[in-house]
Parts: sequence; C-alpha cells; structure tokens
Amino acid sequence: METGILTRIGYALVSLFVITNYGLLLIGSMARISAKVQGRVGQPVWQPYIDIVKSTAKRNSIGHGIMFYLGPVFRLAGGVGTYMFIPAVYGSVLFRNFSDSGDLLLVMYFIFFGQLGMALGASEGGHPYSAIGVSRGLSQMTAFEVPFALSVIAVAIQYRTLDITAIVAAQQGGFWNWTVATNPLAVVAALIAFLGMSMHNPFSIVIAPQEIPIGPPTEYQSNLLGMLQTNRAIFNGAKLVLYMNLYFGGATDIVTMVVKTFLIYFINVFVGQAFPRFRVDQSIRFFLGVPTLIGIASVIIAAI
Amino acid sequence: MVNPLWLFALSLGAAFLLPLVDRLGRRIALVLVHGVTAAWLAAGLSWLAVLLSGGEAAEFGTAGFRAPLAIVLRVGLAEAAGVTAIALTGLLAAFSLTRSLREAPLGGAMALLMALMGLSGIVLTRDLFNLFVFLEISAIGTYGLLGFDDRKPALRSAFKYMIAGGLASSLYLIGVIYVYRLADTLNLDIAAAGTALSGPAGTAAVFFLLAALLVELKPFPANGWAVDAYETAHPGISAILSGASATALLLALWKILPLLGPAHLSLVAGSGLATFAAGNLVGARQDRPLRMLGYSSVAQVGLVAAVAALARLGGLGDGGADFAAAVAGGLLLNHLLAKTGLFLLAGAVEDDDARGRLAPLSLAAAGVLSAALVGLPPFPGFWAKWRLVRALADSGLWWILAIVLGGSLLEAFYVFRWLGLRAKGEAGEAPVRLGIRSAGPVLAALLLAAAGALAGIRGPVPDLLLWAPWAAAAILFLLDGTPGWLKGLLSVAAAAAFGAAAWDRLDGFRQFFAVMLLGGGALFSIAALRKGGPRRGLHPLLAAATLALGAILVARTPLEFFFAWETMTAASWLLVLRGRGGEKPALSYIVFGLGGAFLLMAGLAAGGWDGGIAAAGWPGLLVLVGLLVKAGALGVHVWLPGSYAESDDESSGFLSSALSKAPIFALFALALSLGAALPGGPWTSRALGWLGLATALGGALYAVYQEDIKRTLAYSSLGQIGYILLAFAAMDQAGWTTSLYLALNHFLYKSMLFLAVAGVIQRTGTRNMYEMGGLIKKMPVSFLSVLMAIIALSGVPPLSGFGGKWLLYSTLIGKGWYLETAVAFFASAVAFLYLYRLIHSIFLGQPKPSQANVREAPVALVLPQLVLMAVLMAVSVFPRLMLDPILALVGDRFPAAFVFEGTRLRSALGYWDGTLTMIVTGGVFALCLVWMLANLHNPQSVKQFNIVFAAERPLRPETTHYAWRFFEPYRKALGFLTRERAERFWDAFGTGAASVGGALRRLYTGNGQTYALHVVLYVAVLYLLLGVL
Repeated sequence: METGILTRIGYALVSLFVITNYGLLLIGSMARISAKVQGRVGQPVWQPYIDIVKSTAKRNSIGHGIMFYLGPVFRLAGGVGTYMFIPAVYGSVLFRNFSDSGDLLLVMYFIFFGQLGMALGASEGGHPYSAIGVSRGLSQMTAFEVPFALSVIAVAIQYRTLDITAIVAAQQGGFWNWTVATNPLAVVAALIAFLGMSMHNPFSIVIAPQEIPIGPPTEYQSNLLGMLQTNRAIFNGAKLVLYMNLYFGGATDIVTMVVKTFLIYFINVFVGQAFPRFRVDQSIRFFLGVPTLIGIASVIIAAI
Repeated sequence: MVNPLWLFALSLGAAFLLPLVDRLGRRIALVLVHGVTAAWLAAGLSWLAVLLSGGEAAEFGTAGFRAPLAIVLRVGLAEAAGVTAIALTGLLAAFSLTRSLREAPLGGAMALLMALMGLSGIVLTRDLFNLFVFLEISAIGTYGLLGFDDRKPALRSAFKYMIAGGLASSLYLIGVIYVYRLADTLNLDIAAAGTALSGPAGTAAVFFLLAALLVELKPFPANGWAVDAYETAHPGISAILSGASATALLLALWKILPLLGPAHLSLVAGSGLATFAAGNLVGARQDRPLRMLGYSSVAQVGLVAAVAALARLGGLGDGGADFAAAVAGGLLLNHLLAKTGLFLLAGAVEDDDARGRLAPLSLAAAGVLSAALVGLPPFPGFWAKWRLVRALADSGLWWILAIVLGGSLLEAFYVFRWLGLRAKGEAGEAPVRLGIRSAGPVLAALLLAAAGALAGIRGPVPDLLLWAPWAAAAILFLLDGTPGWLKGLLSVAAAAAFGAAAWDRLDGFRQFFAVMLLGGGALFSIAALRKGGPRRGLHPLLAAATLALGAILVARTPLEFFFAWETMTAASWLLVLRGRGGEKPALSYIVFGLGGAFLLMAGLAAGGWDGGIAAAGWPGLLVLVGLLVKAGALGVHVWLPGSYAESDDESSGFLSSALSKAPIFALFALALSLGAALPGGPWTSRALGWLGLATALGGALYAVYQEDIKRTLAYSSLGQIGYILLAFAAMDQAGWTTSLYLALNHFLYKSMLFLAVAGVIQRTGTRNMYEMGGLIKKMPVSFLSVLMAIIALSGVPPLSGFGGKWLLYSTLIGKGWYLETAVAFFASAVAFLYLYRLIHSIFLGQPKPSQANVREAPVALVLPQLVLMAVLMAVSVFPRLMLDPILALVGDRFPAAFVFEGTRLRSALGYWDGTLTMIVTGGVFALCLVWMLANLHNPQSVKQFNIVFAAERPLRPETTHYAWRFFEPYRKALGFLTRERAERFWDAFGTGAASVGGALRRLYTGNGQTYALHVVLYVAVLYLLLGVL
C-alpha cells in the first residue's frame, strides 16, 4: 500500500481540510447547545468561521517580538501535527495521515509542542495575565496527565501495542470489543482527564472565559488570533479522534467518526454546563485523587 | 652508621654549654640548638639511607658491653624513621619557636633540646628502665616547654600535664620493678624471648608498663590534660607533642608489643578505637582550631595504636609485622607531617587573631595538609587506609571497619570545615599573610606529597596516566599567575592528550563515557575563558577534575579505581569551594562525597576484582549505595543543589553535565562485571528503579519552586539522573539503551543550559530569575540555546529528547513496570513547569530598565552553545547517529527489544521514526509560518507596557513581570511532597552526632583533679577488663 509522497501530502491536506471544517462546526454547534441549556438563543453554528475571517482581515497586527509572532505558528503547527500523527479513519488511505511517524507516545508528546510554543509566544507579549494563565494551565496539565497516562498504559497492556492503528484494529467487531466495554475504568479515567484537557468547566480557570480576558491568548489579535481559533478546531478534532481510536472502537468511515467524536465532545459540554469551576490547586488535587485511583485500578485490571 | 651515643652526648653537651654560648648572644645559642637538632636529623637520614639500601640493623652497647650487661641502643628501620621524624618535627617547631625562644629565658631552648633528645632516646633504647629514664627526660623537657614562654593558660595545662605524666611514670616504674623481679632482666629482647612473663604475675607486670604507655598516648577519656596542652601551648610545642612525642610513644608501644599477650593487645585495640571514635566525635563539636586539632591528634594516635595491636592480635592483612609497619607506619607518617604542619599553620593564624582568608601559598599548604590528614589521595594516609580497610574486610572485622570509616568521615567534616573557613575568611577582612611562618607547613605539605606520590607510583598505582590529574593540577597551579586563556587552552590540550593516550585502552563503554567526561571537561574549560584575568585556581582544578574522570575510565584495579575516584571527589570539592558562596555547600559536598566513597571503598575492599568492579552480594550492594550517594539519589541528594548553585557557573555546568556521569559509568561497570546484573538480583533492580523514579519526581518537584536559576537547574539535573537510574535498573537491552541515550542527551542539553545561564548571570549579575525578564532581544543566541535545550529536556518532538521519552516508556511498559510508567509520566509533565518558568522569567515577559545595556554572552560561551545546538539538531534529525553506537555497545548481552528498520525504530509495542517526525513537523511548521506571514497585515511593534492591561497603565516591570512564586497554586496543592524531609533527616543526624560529641565533651572539665581521676579510673577499668579478657 505504498503511496507516492506527493499523493500522501495531497491526502493529508484533504484530511486536514475535513477536520478543520468539522472542528469549526463542532465548536459552533456546541456553543449553540450550551446557549440553549442556559436559555439563550446563542450564536449561529458558523460563528467560528466569521470569527476567523474577521480576525484574519484586521488591518493592523500588533507585535511584541519574534517569539510573539511564532507563538501562533507553533500552536497551529502543534494542532495540525498532532492530527497528522493520528490515523483518523481506520483502513482509509485518505485519512491515514502521517501516522507512520510514530506511535501513541509520539502523539501524546506532540500535544505539548503547540502548547509550549504558544506559551512562549504569549510570554513575549509581556502581559502578566498570559503568564498567569500559562502557570495555571501547566499546573493543571501535570495533574490530568496522570489519569490519562494510566489509562493509556491500561490500553497498551490490554492490546500489547502502542500502535494506534493496531489498537483500533483490536477493537473491531462490535461494541463489546471496544475499550469502553472491555476496560470501562480506563475510559472513565481518560474521560475525566479529557475534561481537564479541554479546559471546559470545571477546569476552565486557565482561560477564565467569562471574566476579564485572561490566559495565554490575552495579547493576541488579528491574524494571530485567527490562527489560534483555527487551531482550536483542529486540535479539538485531533484529540477527539484520538479518544475515539483508543476507547470507542475507532471509525471505519467518516460518518461514524463524526457521530462518535460529536458524542465524546458532548460529554464535555454536558459536564461543563452542570458544574462550577475549580481553583487550580483544587483541580490538581482532584485529578490526583479519585481519577488517578480509577486509572490505577484500570491498569491493575488490564495487567491481571 | 653513626653511633647514637654521640648524639646524646652532643645534645647534653650543648644543653650544658648553652648558658655560656648565650653570653655571645641568643642568636648564636639558637643556632646551636638548631644545629644539634639538624645533627639528629642528619644522623636519622644517614641511618635510613644505609638501611634502605640493604644495610643491617645495628645495636650499640654502652661502655663497650652488650646486653644484658649494658644498655643497648638499636638502630633499625623503625628507629631510624622515628628519629628522623622527631628531629624533623623538632626542627620545624624550633624554627616556628624562634621568636619565643629568643625572648623568653634560656630554659626554653634547653628544655627543647632535652625533650627532643628524650624522645629520640625512647625510640632507640632496648632497655626498659632506660626507657623510663628517657620518658622522664622528655616529660620534664615537655613541662618546661609548655611553660617557658609565659602563656598563662599553658602554665595551667603544663601542671595538669605534669599530674598525668607523674601518674604514668609511677605506673611504669611499678611495671619495671615487677618485670625485673620476674624476668631477671630489663632488656626487652631477652625478656620477650623468655617465658617468665607469661604467667598471671607477668601479665600484671606487663600491664603496668602498658598502662603507663597508654596513658602517655592520651587515650579517651583520660586525655583532657593533653588536649588542654595542645590548645594552650605555643603551636610549635603542640606540633612537637602531637608529632614527635606521639611518634616516640607509639614506637615505645611498638617495642613492648612482643611482651604483650592477647588480652593486653585487646586492651590496646579497644582503647585505641574508642579514642579514635570519641576523639573525632568531640572534635566535630569543637570550633577552636587548636583544640580541634588536639582532638584529631589523640584520635589519630589511637587509631595507629589500635592498628598495631590488631595486626599482632588478629593476623590482620598478611599477618606479618610488614603489614602493621606499613599501615601503622603510613598512618603515623601521615599524621606526623600533617599535624605538625597544621599546628604550625593554624597556630600562626590564631596568634595573629586573623579572620581573613589565607593567602594562596598558605592556603595550598593548608589544603594539602587537611587532605592528607583526612586520608585523601595521593598522601601516605590514603595508601595506609586502603590496606587497612582491605585487611579489615578480609578478616570480617566489620564493626571495626565501620568505626574507622565513620571516625574518618567525622574528621573530614571538622577538618574541612576549618579549611573552608580559612579558604573564605570573613567578609571584609584582609587576606592573611604568614610570611616565613608558612615555610614549615609548606615543607610538611611537600614532604607529604612526595612521600605519597612515591608510595603510590612505586607501589600499587604505577600507571602514570592515573597521576595525570595531579600533574596537571601541579603544573597549572605553578602557572596560576598567567592569563586565563593560556591555562584554558592548556587544560583543553591536557584533556585531548589524555584522551589520545587512553583511547586505545578503553573498551566501547569507556569510550562512550570518555566523550562526555573528557569532552565535558574540555567544553567547560573553554567556557571558563568567558572572563578575563588569570581566574586563579579555576583552571587547575577543572583540569584536574576532568583528568580524574578520565582516570576513572582507565583504572584497572579496585585501588586504581578508588584512587581516581577520590581524586575526582577532591578536585570537584575544591571547585565547589572556589565558588563565591561555596563554603557551606562544599562541606556537605565533601562529607557526602566521602561518605559515598567510603561505602564504595568498603565494598571494593570486600569484593574481589575481575577486570571490572567485581562484587557480588552485599559488597556489591555497598558499592551500589556508595555510587548512588555520588549520583545524588533522592534521600542522599542534599549535597547536590547547594554545590551546583554556589560553585562557579562553568564548574556547575561541569558538575552537572560531565561529572554526574561518573557514577553512572561506575554503575554500568559494576553491572557488567557481574554479567549484566545487579548485586542482589531482581529485587535490587526493582528498588533501584523506584529510587530512580523518586529522584526523577523529587528533582522535578523541587525545581518547580526555585527562584534561583542555578538551583532550578541543579534540581533538574537530579531529576534527569533519576530517569537514567530508572532505565538502567530495567537491566535489559531496552533499559540500557535508554539509559545511555538519556545520559548522552542530558550531557548535550544540560551543557547548553548551563552555558547559556552562565552568560545570563554574567551579564545580569543575579541568579534570581524574577530579577530578569525580556532578555530575548538582548541575548538571542542564548535564548535559542535555552529554547532548544528545554524542548530536548522536556521530550517534546521533534528534538532528540522525545527519543528519550519514547525509549523510556517503551522500556517501562515492555518490562511490565506500569506504575513506574505512570509516575514517570507525571514527573515528565512536572518538568514542563520549571522549564517554562525558566525561559519565561529570564528571556520573555517585561525587561528591566536596569538591564537595558545587557549584551549577548561572551564568545567563549556562545561558541560552544552553537556547536552543541548543531549536534543536538543533527542527532534529532538522524537519531541513528546516537542510537546505532549505543545499540552496538549494549550489544547482544540481552534479547533485542529495539530494532531499526531504516529510519524507524521498533519496539515490541510500537515504533518511532525520528527523521519522518522531523520532516512532518518541519513541513507543517513551514506551512503555518507561511500562512502567518501571508496574512500579516501592517505589523507594528509596540513599546514596553503597551499591553491590554485592564483599566490600568503598568509602570514598572517589577509589578508587571509575573515571575516570583510562579507556581504558588501548585505549592498549595502538592507542596507537602517537597518538605525537605531528607534535609531534615540529615540535619537531625548531624545534630545527633553533635549531641553525642557534646555529651562526651562534658568530661573535659579543665580541672586537673578530675583529669587525674580520669587517669586512675581509666587504668582501673583497663585492669578489670584485663581480668575479664
């Protein structure tokens, strides 16, 4: 199944195009659903497109230095790269991306690429709220990484591989082969970690969306903000696809993928609408408590 | 050979003539005194020359008769050495006493002549009564000396000395009477040959002789009178008491050893060891230098006596007198020279009441003398101690071994504490110049160095490559006044030459580590050129430490290895001490360094040698624990952060990137010598794995809360060493590959970080990160270097650090160490915190107005960073550059877990293609960059503070740069994990030892009556013990 390099790049661009649009629509629709829950009309589903176009079309772009400009580049490259290292649709040549670069460990670590670069860019902006946001985000990240890692270890033990395609392959043949059925504890741990990863309530203190503008993007505007917004869609999509692959049997076609990832993302929104927000120290202790114990239990179950 | 009777006649004659000569002038009288002492020295040396070139020992009868009709003086090797030592000490002391002797009444000079003659007589005579006579002569001479220059406290202690001496003399005389009654002779050899002294009465008779000599040797607790004298007398007198008098009395003890039965010998050994332990415990509590040296003296003398007795008693070593002579003699020689020098030096400083640091030459002498006293290589004490430890281990006398090493460690603590104080001095005080008074100490130091080097090269370490560190240090110290660049280049050349000379002798593993150890040394020698001027001391020490690391690789026997190891410890300790605030950290560095080294020593001595550090079972475990102390494993890491933080910036880098790999190398060597396994088997591996993990997590967590940039990096190093240990503990192909990969990678990025940080500190003048900010525009290369380094450290793809993470997790999951994997994930995530903080607080955020004129770091720092960046990039794009050699090194010892297919590395669980990852990342990044540039409309740079700050215009960077207590919420959540338990434990341990010392010290009331009671009780207890034994 060797494909020419140009063809592969072409396929990858198509795949990227699909995930970008899907991600944007997902964000738009979730925002609308949230609004409905809160009794508001809410924004149109295509609002994310409008935001990006508006940002990109700004006449001026304020800069604080080279790293400030490179921050969004790192961020977007991180999102796109993460997606590129995940096979999005099982068995599809089109959506295979460049998943032959490395296994699950590569994906888990490439997630940090964009975060780190963005944090540095934001730092050069010189705004204290950016640094505070990064401080909070990193602190929280170390904590939710633990249940997530435990859950990944459980998956690796269960399927004896870290190759994402092989993990999906092992889950084929019906719901009862999915990880969520064979090792539900691992999935519970991972999903709780996912709440933190997505920075929705109750773990939204990092960007504190309701209050004064805070968090890493504080100083960003214009095209630079547009890139961050684009990345949000792609990066979300990539993470959702990863979760689907690891825990929910993957997808053999694009429709299945859309349905499954939509439902996974919906868990976020569901929890986010129902819970208030943690302080950072509270969320750290939370992640290292029950979710970690669940993760350890899932590893033990997988190991014996 | 010169008949010693002439010398006695000379001394007596001179003493009688002195009042007459004094009429011609005191100066001439003193010349006479010096001349007579020099004559003794010349005689001693001439005897030594004859005896060492194969001559026979000679006996000289008096009045033309032989024993038993006359007193016989014997000149053997021991006697010749003893007389030489006494005369040498006497001469050095006499020079230091010159002024006092000139000003005080003439009695002082006469007492000096008599004391020295008496001491020599003790050494030479073979007659028990004559021995008594000489004991009395020397004692009376000593009393006179103690009081001659009108020091009031010395007069008081002279009186106490007299009480104790009188008691000892009485005991001795009783012993002599009984011996004569039983054996019908006073000649030692005849008495020893007969059986008359073997019954109960004979035992008692000999006991009195022995008790008297033991009391004279100042045993614990009956030694308060001696310590008081050491403290209060003129330093020259203390030197005579500690050096010459101890030598004579030990030789007297040596002489009567043939008369002693096993019970007597046990008493000597027990009393000696108790004195050694107690003396050092009390010494550790003492902060007055002369009294401290006094405690050290009694301790050392106790040890020598114990060794002599043990050798005879237990057949220690090869069971012969040779062993006892070599070890006890080596220790004695070491003690004699070191203590003489130190008393003279410390005394001169005390006399001046000086508080500044010592001038270079005196300081060097003080360093050599202290190092020798503690038993560091290459001084005689080192060789003696090694043989002693080896013999004790062979004989299974573990508790004695523990006492010897524990006591030595305590001694190291207080001696080096004093040295640190003298090396740094109090702030604002002028350097202390001793002038001609430093001649004695310097001479003693030179003699020690020469004796040690001779003993080593002609003895157990003939390989000159192992002496290269000392040679390099010596040469560069001689050139210390020359410009830094010359010494730096010489250091690099030395490292290169060493590498070239040693390369063919090294196997693959050693070559791999040689790149890091020697290369690292050379790298930081270049970095040391960042500042102009000679930078005294830095280059010699750096070169010595570098070559010592090389020597560790070259070593072939356990002793060679230990020699190189201690050389490395000593050189690096001095590097730490050289740092601005290095006094305290250096002390904990050397105490833990030596603690680890002593464990290593015990393990090496107990295990065999098989071309590697072959030590199975618990000797191997001792070696392992010793290495872990040096590696800074959590719990015994407390020495590390301070040392890294307070040493010079290039030294910190050297310690962290290069030297920290020495224990890692030794661990591999240990495992290899056991057939790629650890002593103790799988349980050890598991425990070591968890220890490594705890170190990794602990290091990362501690690093998060540091404000000091170098402390951050120090804890970071701790953490990274933890991962290396963890992977090593897996004991399979995957683990070892990972461990070596991590080690090399750590070398690369930690070098970059330390080099960059050195530049930042040099330019900003602070180590506190919150006092910096926004330096990216001023120091772009340093920023890039730090950026690449932190990406590599954190393991973010596409740089080589991710390879390390991938290898590590693949190893751990493959091994079935699942919980370890999770904790490693957590620790790695925590590393992001301090790495981000580091780069943000220094290079990003708001710049400080005071740092507006900061420039890029000097070329000497930037250039190595550029090279390292290129290397890092190359191994990131082509991971096989690093992994192929490592996989080849690990070889087929284990089943293969990692295999390359083209550019893709496969594990049992997954795969990683570093090259493809780099291409994809590069492509995606380029795409995003083009997108950003294409849509960038009218970009405008704005001034500082032009930010969307809510309803306020920030004015000061101090309030806008978010940097201080950066992760406070994290501390709130997880601060309980980092409460410095290890620090508190070791503090408590130190306090405990100090309390014991303090309690023992209360025995020393300063009251002569109490001291007399101590002596009487001591003898009574000995007598009772003799009955039990």
